[in-house]
Amino acid sequence: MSSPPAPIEDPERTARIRARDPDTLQGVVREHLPMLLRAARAAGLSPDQADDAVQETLLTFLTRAHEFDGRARVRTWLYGILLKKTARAFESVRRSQETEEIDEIVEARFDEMGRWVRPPRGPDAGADAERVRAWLADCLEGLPDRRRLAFVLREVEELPTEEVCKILEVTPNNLGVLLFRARNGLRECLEIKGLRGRDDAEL
Amino acid sequence: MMPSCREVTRLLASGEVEISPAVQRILMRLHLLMCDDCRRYSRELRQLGETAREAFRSPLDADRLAALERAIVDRAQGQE
Repeated sequence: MSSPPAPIEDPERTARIRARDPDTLQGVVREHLPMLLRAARAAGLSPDQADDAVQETLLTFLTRAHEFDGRARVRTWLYGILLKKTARAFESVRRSQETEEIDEIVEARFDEMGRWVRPPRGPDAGADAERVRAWLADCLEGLPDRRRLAFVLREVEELPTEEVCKILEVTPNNLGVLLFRARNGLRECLEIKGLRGRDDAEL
Repeated sequence: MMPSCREVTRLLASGEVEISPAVQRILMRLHLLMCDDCRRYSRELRQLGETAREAFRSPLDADRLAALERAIVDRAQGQE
């Protein structure tokens, strides 16, 4: 399967970035600060560490802006710098061993014909949104860094698959495995919290 | 051939459904129409995404962002 090329940056903007136009550079910083902070947190950094890593990332961008070639979106470049900057993120996000515990948990829900034997029973559609959000925050915390970041880039930031692959340096198949494990890990975690909540309510 | 429940969950959770052939997508839709459990699974994944987007996208503190931006620009100018 061949993947389409990652989206490229607008040529005019590329020219202004390369020429180090101050307004353009400041605009890039302002535009990308929030998403870089989210990504740094998703990669497993504390709020303070995330602030530092993002500062370093944008500083690197500002000092190397003239090298920007526009062959990738500026945000792809920034995410790449961020992951290189964060030693912890680099180690655990790019190289961590993927455990397969969640695969077995999911597999145990089906019979040999692939039919549900333990169907999904996550929180109901009408469940208290505030509570579910708090549960999800907890569950995200428990996810391995690499899976969390894949999930956040694809599902929260809604970046195209090929761009997430480029940022994480993985193939589309690898990304599919990461997302499968992230989504199922979160779903299983929410289901456990939801069922426990129901039991508590009955006591 | 109609995908099994296991196959449907794999297609949905990995995101592979977005790039699978039209025939496979149609078969999956048919399966979802007939299968309450897979429909529930699909809905739970969708809600998971929506909840995560709400949680992560709550606006960051504007003062903090402005301070960070200033710090970055000041440091960059200091280096020139």
